[in-house]
Amino acid sequence: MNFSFLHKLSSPRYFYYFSITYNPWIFYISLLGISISLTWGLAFTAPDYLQGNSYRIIFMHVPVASLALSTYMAMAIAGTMGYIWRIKLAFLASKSLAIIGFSWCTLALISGAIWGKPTWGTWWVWDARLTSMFILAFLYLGQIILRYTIQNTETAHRACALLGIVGLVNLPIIKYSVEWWNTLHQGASITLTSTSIAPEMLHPLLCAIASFYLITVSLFFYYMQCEILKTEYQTTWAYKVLASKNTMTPISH
Amino acid sequence: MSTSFITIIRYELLQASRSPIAFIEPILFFMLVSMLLPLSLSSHIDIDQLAIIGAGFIWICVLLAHLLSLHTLFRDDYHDGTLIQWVLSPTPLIYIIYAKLISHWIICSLPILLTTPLWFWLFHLPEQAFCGFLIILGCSTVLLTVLCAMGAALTVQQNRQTILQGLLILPWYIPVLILASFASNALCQQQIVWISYTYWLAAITTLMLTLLPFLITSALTMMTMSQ
Repeated sequence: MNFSFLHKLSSPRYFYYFSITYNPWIFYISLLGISISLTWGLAFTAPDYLQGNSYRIIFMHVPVASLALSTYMAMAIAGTMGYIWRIKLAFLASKSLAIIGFSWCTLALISGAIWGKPTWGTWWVWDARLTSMFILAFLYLGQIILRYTIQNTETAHRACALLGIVGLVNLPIIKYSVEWWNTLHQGASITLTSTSIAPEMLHPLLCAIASFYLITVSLFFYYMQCEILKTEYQTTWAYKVLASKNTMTPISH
Repeated sequence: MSTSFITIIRYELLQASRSPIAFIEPILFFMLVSMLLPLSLSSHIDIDQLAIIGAGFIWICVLLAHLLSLHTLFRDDYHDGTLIQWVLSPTPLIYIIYAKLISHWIICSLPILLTTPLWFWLFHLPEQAFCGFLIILGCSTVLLTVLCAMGAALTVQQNRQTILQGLLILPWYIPVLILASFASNALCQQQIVWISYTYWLAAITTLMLTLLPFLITSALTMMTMSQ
């Protein structure tokens, strides 16, 4: 198999033009997917026998919560790749994913609170999943803040990569210890092999999950474009791009 | 190799004994906070409830006492240039890190362990739980020292103490907090299950004690080389 395509993607310039070309497609397809799945889920699905209409927030809550976790994984892996092979682009990816992941994590906490009010009768309970999501938000916040406190950019990226590795080791330990501590939230309804959700609710949910993943990819590409221009502004091609966007002075740090 | 290991431990302990505030600070903090807990609760609270709350509260005090003394770990060595000499010296940095961890544990954690009888008496904890408490406390302070060292290594370039170190260490400390308070609660109610929680705690301690010093080494090398 020919992997030269992947090697080319680690060049900032190639990556920039690649994402400029394909990202609009990804973005509009994901927007279409989200509007279809949310309309399907919110308007055309039967209400739940127990929770009534309040369960419909599931079509946003579940994709966002699962993304918050998988973005952390992607962020830590990108940081590790950058640390081992010294790929500049992998560090930038790690930086972008930290902010995207933190937003998903916050959204998951907020939508969970909104869902918890009608079903559990309270905005917040000290339950295992909620608590571990709360801790995840702090792990993301540590990543974001540590990067801004170290002066040297290269050192900041490498320190954040190490932080991501420690977080990755600790994540399962934190998760299982918190689960021991308390459990009120229901277990996972969907696994790879079986499901306990009715099919008419499951299909829009899976559709929503797929389109939220897709929009994360798209947001990641947009973020990467900004980051690449910010770090590469001294090169000729980036200067030309910035000049063509009618920016008076190139962006500095 | 072993001579430089012992030399560093002796040097650290000597340095701490010249300014004994390093020993006293964590104990003082620990005692102050322990005094405040019963005062902040209502005076009608009975002794059994105080024991339950106190046994859980200890673990927060331990964390805060360690966060307070975290800046003594690498920062002075970084700013006066000792750290870069260690990085450049023929002795592998990992030996020096272990020596630093041991000396820091003796300076910061051992005094807290020595005050155990005092807060047993203050919080009316059952006396037969004393030995078990020492084991749990010993285990979790070792783990906490390694975690603090990781946090300190990543933030070594900062001149003043910030909330960032707390933010980095807090999520890693949560399993310790949960397991240690489970174990101590079971111990106070004389349930044999405290042993299994302590085994888990010991397992995590072993994992972190073998894994994290390598990451600390690379973090410190990186920080000194970009100075």
